[in-house]
Amino acid sequence: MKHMVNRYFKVWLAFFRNTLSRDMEYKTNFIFEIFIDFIYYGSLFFFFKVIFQFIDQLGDFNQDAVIIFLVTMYIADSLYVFLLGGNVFNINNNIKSGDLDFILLKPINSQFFISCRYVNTHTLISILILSVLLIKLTYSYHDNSFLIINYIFFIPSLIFGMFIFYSFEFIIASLSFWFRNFSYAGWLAGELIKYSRRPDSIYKKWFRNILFTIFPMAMICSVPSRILIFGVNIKLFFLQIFISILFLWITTLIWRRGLLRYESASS
Amino acid sequence: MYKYLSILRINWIQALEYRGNAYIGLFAIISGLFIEYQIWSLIFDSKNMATIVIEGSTDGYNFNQLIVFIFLSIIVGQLKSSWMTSSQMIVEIRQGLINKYLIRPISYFWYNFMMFIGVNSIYYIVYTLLLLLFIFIYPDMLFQNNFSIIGFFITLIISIYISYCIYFIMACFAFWFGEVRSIVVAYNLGMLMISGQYMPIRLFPKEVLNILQWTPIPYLVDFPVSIATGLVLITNSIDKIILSLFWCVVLTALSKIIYNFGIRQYEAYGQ
Amino acid sequence: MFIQVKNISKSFKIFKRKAGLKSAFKSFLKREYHLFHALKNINLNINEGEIIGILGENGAGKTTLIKLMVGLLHPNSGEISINGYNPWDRDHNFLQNISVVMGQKNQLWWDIPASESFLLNKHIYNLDDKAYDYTLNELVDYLDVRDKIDVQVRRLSLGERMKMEIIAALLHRPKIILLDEPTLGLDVISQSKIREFVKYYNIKHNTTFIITSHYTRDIQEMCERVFVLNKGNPIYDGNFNKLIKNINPKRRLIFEFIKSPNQKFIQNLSCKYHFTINNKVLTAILEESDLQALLNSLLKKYSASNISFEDLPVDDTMATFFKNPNQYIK
Repeated sequence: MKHMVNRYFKVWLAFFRNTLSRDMEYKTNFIFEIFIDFIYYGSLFFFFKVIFQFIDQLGDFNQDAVIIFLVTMYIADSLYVFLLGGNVFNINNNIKSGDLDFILLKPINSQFFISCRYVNTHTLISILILSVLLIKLTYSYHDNSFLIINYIFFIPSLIFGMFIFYSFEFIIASLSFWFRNFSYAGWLAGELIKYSRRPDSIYKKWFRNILFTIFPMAMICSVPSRILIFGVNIKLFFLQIFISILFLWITTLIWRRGLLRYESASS
Repeated sequence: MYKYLSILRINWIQALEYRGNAYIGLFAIISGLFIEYQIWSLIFDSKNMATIVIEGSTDGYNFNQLIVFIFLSIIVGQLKSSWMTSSQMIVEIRQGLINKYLIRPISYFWYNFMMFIGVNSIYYIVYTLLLLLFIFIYPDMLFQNNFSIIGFFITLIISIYISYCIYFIMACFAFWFGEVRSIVVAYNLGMLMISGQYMPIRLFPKEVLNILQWTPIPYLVDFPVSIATGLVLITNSIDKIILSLFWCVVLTALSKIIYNFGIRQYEAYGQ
Repeated sequence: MFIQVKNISKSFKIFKRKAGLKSAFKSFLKREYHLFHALKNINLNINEGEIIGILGENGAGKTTLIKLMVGLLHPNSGEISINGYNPWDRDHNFLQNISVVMGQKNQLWWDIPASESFLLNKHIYNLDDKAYDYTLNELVDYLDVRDKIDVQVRRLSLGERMKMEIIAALLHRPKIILLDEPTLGLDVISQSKIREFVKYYNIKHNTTFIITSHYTRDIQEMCERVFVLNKGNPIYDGNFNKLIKNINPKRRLIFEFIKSPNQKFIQNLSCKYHFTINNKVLTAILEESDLQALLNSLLKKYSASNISFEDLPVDDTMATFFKNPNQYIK
C-alpha cells in the first residue's frame, strides 16, 4: 500500500514538474491567469458589497463572516483548480483527440492520470496570498485570537470539500462518454457549482437541507468556512467526510461505465 | 449580400448541432434566477421591505418587479455574450488561418459578425420562446408601455452589436500578443457582474454608476431591460438611443482601425 | 501461442444526415444510424518474437484490429488472448508489457524536452534507476538523438519526434509493441532508420512487433509475415514476398544496345513481346518467363552495353492487388 502511494506521488510530482516547466515558458499567460482569478474574485466580492448596502446580516452570516466565506471559497476554488480543475473538462477533448487511448494503455489508474495530469501551477500564488488574508480575517473576527482547533479541522474539511467539488464536475464531464458533443459540460457544471458560492444561509430551509445532503454544494465551502466562523461542528464534519467519500466512489463507478461505453463505440 | 446570408445559414445549421447549449442556457437562466430569488427574498423579508430604492424609479421597486428585472437581465446578458466566435477569431489569427479571408472579397468584420449571430441564433429562438411563455403567464409585468416592444428590440440589437465590437477589438490584440484568450475570459467574467446581468446596475453605489455612464456598459443589459420593464420610457430616451448609436459608430471605427493595424503587422511578419 | 485472435468481429454505429436546413431540424428531433462492419471474423495467431505486418487500404480495419488487441475496444464477438491476458481487462501486468506508437498522435508533452516525458514514463512504469538509465542510453545512442532529448518536442522535426515517441514506448522493455503507421509523413532517411531499428531491436530483445501500414515498403522491409485486410475481411496471412509474386510475377528488363538495332528486327520482336524502345534503350515489363525469352532473342543478335532486371515498385503491385484482391488469392 505504502509502495503504491509512494509511486503515485512520484508520478504526480512528475506531472507537477512537467507542467511547471511548461508554464514557465509562457510567463505572460501565467500572470494573466492570476489576473483572471482576481477579476473573478473581485466581482463576487463586489456583488456582496452591493447586497450589504441593503442588509447587515445574511441569515447567520454578518458582513465579516461573508467575507471569510468568500475568501474560503476562493481558496477552495484555487486548490481545486491547482490539483484537478484543469483536467476535468478536458476529458471531452481527450476522448475526441484519442489521447484517452494513451492513458488507458498505461499501467496506472486512468482516472487518477486523467484527473491529475496537468497541474495549474499559477494558483499556488493565489493560494498563498489568500491563505495569509484568511488568517488575518479570522484572527480579527475572533477578537484577535488564534483558535488553533479551528484551523486543524479547517484544512481536512477544505480538502474533503474539494473532493466533492471534483466529484461533481467529474460526473458531469464523464457524461461526454454518452453525449459526444458535450462541449457545454463546463457551463452546466459552473451553473451547478454556483450554489456552493453563496453562503448557505441565503437559502430557504428546505433547500438548505438538500444542499447539505443529496446536492451537497454547501459541503464545499460553507462547511469549512463555518468551522472558521462558528467553530467546529463534529456532526457536520463527519457528514462532510461521508458524503465526500460516497461521491468519490460514485465517480469511480461512472468512470468505469464510461470506459466500457468508450470501448464499444470508439472508432 | 448573399454571401453573408449563406454564412449565416451555415452557422444556423451548425448551431442546431449544439442544441445542448440551448438547454444549458435555459437551465442557467432558471437556476441563476432561483439563486437571486433566494437572496432577494431573504433581504426583503428580514428588512420587512415593501420596495427597494432603484435608480430611475420614484416609487422604488417591489419584490416581483425586481425579480422580473433580474430575470430579463439574465436573458439579455446571455444573448449578448459569446465564447465561441471570439475564441475562433483568436485561433484564426494566431495560426495564420485568416489568409483565406484576405484573398476573398469579404470583410472579416462582417463575416465574423454573421458567425456571431449565426452561432447565437439558437439562443435567440429558445429565449424568445421563454419570454413569450413568461408574458403569457404574467401578462402585466413586461411591455406595458407604448412602443416598449419595439424599443426593446431596437436596444437589444444595439446591445448585441456593441458587444460584438468589443469582442472583435479584444480578439484583434491577437495580432500582437499570444494569450489574448485570457483577456476574453477575464472580460466575460467581469462583465457578468458589471453589465448588470445578475445585479441590476441601478443598485450599484452612485460613484460606480457615474463612472459607468461614461462607457457603453449601460447599453449592454440595463438599457434594453429598463425599456422592457417600463422603468425607462422609449419616448423619453431618444437622447440615450442616440448616445448608444454613437457608441456603435465609435466602436465600429475603432474595430476597423485596430484591425487594419493588425493586418499590416500580420502581413509584415507572416504570422 | 503468444497472441491469439479468435473469430473477432466488430461493428460501429455511424450517424447519418443529409445536407440542408430541413435535415438539420429533422436531426434535432431524431437521429438516424447505420451499422458499419469494421472487422468480420478475424483469426490470427502470432508467436513471440515475430514481426508481423497488417496491411490494408484506408478503412480496411487495421487500426480497429490494433485497438482490439490492446483492449481499447471490445469486440462484438470473438476472443483475444495475449500472453494469457484478456486485453480489455486492462490488467496492469498486461499493460506493463505492451506498448503502442501511433504515427499521427503524440504522447509526448509538446512544450517540454522529451527527457522530461521519459522521466514521467519511468515513474508510471515503475522502472528502477539502473534499468531506466541503461535502456535510455541504449535507445538514444542507437537512434542517434542524444543532442535532441533536451530540446522541446515542438522544436523537433517529424523524424526526430517519431524517434522520441519510440524511445518513450520502449523504456519499459515491453514484450509486445504495436506500431500504427510509424513512418507516416517522414522523409526517406527517417523511414529507413526506423525500419532498421525495428529489425535490430527485434533480434536483440526478441520483442514481438505488430506493424500496420499502408506503405507497402514498410512491410516489405520489416516484416516477413503479413496479414492483409480488405474492407474488414481477412484475405491473406503468410509470407509477404510470396504474396507479391502471386500478384504480379512481372519484372522490368532494361537492355541497352551498343549499336542501334535493325528496325525490321524490332518490328518482328514487337509482334511477340510488348516493350518500349527509346534511342538505344529497350524497356520491357513482362512475366519472368517472357522476359527470359525476350532476352535470349536479343542476345542472339546483339550485344548489350548494360542489362538490368528490376522488381516493380511494391506499392504499384499492391494497388493493383487491392483493386481486385480475389483475382490473386486462391
